[in-house]
Amino acid sequence: MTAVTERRSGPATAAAEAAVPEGPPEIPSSSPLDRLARLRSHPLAVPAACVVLAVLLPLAGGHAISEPTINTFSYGILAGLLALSLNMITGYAGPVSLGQAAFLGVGAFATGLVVTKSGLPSAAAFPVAVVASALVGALGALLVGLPALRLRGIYLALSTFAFADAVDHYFFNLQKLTGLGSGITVPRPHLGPLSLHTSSNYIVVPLLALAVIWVFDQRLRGTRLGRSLIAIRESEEVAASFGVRVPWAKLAAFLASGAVAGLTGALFAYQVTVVNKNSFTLDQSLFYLIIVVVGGLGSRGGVLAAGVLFIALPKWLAALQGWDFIVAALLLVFTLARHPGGFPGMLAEARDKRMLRRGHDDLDSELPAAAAATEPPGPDQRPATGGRLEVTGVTVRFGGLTAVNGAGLVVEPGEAVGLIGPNGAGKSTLFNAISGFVTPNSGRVLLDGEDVTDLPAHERAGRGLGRTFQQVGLVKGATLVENLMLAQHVRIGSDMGPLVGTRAGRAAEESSRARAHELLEEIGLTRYAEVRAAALSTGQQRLVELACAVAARPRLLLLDEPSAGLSPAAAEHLAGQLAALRARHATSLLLIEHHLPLVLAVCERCYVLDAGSILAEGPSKKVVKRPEVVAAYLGEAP
Amino acid sequence: MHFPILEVTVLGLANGAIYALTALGLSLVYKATRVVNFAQGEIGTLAAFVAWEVVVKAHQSWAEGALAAVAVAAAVGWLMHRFVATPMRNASRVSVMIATLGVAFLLFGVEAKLFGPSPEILPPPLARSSFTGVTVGGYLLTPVYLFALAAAAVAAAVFATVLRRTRFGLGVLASAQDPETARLLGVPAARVSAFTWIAAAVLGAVAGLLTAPTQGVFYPFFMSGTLFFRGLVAALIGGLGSLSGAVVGGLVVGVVEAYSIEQFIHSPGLPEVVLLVLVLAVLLLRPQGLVARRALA
Repeated sequence: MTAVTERRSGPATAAAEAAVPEGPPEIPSSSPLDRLARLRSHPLAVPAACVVLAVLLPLAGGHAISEPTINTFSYGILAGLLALSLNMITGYAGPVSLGQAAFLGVGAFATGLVVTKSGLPSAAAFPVAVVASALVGALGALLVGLPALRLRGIYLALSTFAFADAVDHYFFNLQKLTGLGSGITVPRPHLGPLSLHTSSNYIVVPLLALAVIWVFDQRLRGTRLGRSLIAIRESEEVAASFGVRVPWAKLAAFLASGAVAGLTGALFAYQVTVVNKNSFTLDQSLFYLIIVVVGGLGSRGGVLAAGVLFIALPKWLAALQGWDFIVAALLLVFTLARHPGGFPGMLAEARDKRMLRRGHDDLDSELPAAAAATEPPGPDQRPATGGRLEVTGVTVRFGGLTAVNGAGLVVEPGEAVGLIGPNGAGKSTLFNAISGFVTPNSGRVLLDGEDVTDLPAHERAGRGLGRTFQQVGLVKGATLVENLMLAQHVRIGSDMGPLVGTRAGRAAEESSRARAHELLEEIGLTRYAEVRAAALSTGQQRLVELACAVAARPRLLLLDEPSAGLSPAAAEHLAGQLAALRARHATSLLLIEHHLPLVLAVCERCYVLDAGSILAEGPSKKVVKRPEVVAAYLGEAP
Repeated sequence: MHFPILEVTVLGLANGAIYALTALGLSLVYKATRVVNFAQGEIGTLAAFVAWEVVVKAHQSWAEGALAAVAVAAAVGWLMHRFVATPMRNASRVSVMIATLGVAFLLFGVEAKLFGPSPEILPPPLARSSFTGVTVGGYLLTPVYLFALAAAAVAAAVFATVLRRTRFGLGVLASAQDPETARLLGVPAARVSAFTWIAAAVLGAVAGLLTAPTQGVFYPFFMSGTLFFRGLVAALIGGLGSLSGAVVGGLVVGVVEAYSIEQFIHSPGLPEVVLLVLVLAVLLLRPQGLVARRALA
């Protein structure tokens, strides 16, 4: 797979570089290509284009551009909106929604009801209908999203499929609600001086809606909630370890998606003026999923473009008619077969490679640079505020197997304690019990005197208990900055503030971004701030993981085999970084480790776990020499 | 109110046999690859179109039409193995599922291009013979339904035997458990995958050939709706990946559907709601399926 991407990205990068052969290297941004790219990626590019079109099209309609052409474009924008709504669930959070057109239909029929039953004049009914449809869409999505709290992957997709099928066959067949074959008539209103009857006037509505929803979508993806969703998409466990409330975040994605789809349904109702259930069939839902995957899961621009193109192009060009499904399907199968991440995966990887190359030619030569950043830690500004861990009599059983048997340990505030033991001794299980990923059968876990035994993992994280994983616990598909901001998830406090853009919310986002950059500088990876974690070497990922653990300002840090998978040199480098980070950030530390030199370098004291029980405890250097410890590690002496 | 329990049950079982065939195809692929094949229904539509072309357009016999349909379906199965399953063997299972959805739309597009979008009628097998069927419990089982029941029984028996009793079949099961280890032990991965996808496609074709005459008309994408959904519900009830479960699940769905159609005759679409409730109940409460997972295969 990598070979394919390399092959594909190679010429593209070469071409980009060839475009600026003479340009001075310090201002490569002066190249026309880069300027275009920057303009295109400007956050307000799409809304600005929408507003411009909303002014121009009503003037041009009827003479410069024909009404049917504008009408088709209007459909295309609505399709793009629906694609964006699907992208919020499937692209950001991960669950595959196979019933998006059903939300569209629910919204459209809600508008139908408001218009025909409310008795409001048509101009007054319009805003009411739009709001009502968004609410009803959100409600419907909430219902479909509830099983998502228990189901994952294919099973979750199938449940959305079943919902869509039932809505299609039952709800849309209710004569009173949907008018069946004859449909429901939704006449377009006059809004003040603007008559929406012509297509060239009506298109103002979808265009402005797109501008607003685009900004909302950007906020959603760019702030706390969006980062949670990206984390969930990759691993719910990692997300929870960052303190993300996984069920809430998932439901929020469904809610946002349903609201946007419902609102689009309202605009669709006014667009077609006769709402008929045939517009919301199951195959529509399925086709939208294909559109979104081809456009690029998670990529707003791609998804919007694919939505507009696949719906509008076949209507504009008669020659394309009937080929839409075939082309879309072939594109889908070939992109997926070439690269499991589809187009966005290819593009993102190519981009990472380019940035890595710009940043440095060789990943490993980055290590000394990072070491240089580890200057002797300055005087500690922040005295240890606590971080005393007390574990008493913890027992964890899996069926008949007792993995941890009455283990107890204490970490004093500011202390670094090691937990060592042979393979299978139960170290990771004890860790999971401390951090809340496993419920112990008996025993208590106290953090600064507070009993946290019954708290879920994310609440323990919120109380200052940070941890890393044996497998790298980063969100590989998110950039380093995003990872470090995710690590401060709990400190930002709320999803809504940053999403709505309140002053407090924005301030919290900004301060966490600043801290993310600060920490990146400490570990010497500033230049890779916008590279996705997946592109870094294992050693670098460990460093970022450590920085993440520190970023949340934990009182107590649990590290699970930080040197796993590292070369001895990288492990040594890590030991230095670890000691420096601890000194600078003054947290207590509990470290599981196989690599004894690392334990000896970092920990003053250590516990030895064997067969689920604490075998020995004491100053690190002495404990590892005790005969019973040596025996546990190497087997009984003959 | 008179509720003709016996007749409705017999009709339900007969339709259920067709759902069982679809569910068998879905479960077979799921068992071997952990993927739900969204093209399973559409292969049936394509098969029905091919048979229609041969029987109605070219005036050949039903048997010849069926044979052509099965051959085309087998080719589609092989193409899915070659161009979807094999390149994506290390991809996430959800991605592969989406790719099969792409195949369904590809077939949809091809059908619409080649055969047109309008509804067509495929006559039932033995339409011109004097044999009209067998009456069971007051319900006349036409030859289509007899074929369906026989096909479901034979298919379940054949796959159970092949998978459990032959070296090759054990290889399929081993690959399903752990593809890497199976390959290291010498199981021919490519042939196992080809077998799975072709067999599933043939099951899809048979289900499609039997669905078209019983439903009256068919058109592009027809069987990606009703038939696929019912096959899927059946496979879920039986536990995805269990072949015996697929058969039992198919019959259960057939009977439940027949009862709810009879019960809610004035509310079209309510049977779908019943099936939705069934699916959610199974997914949320017993994701391993209602039928206890006894290893038929």
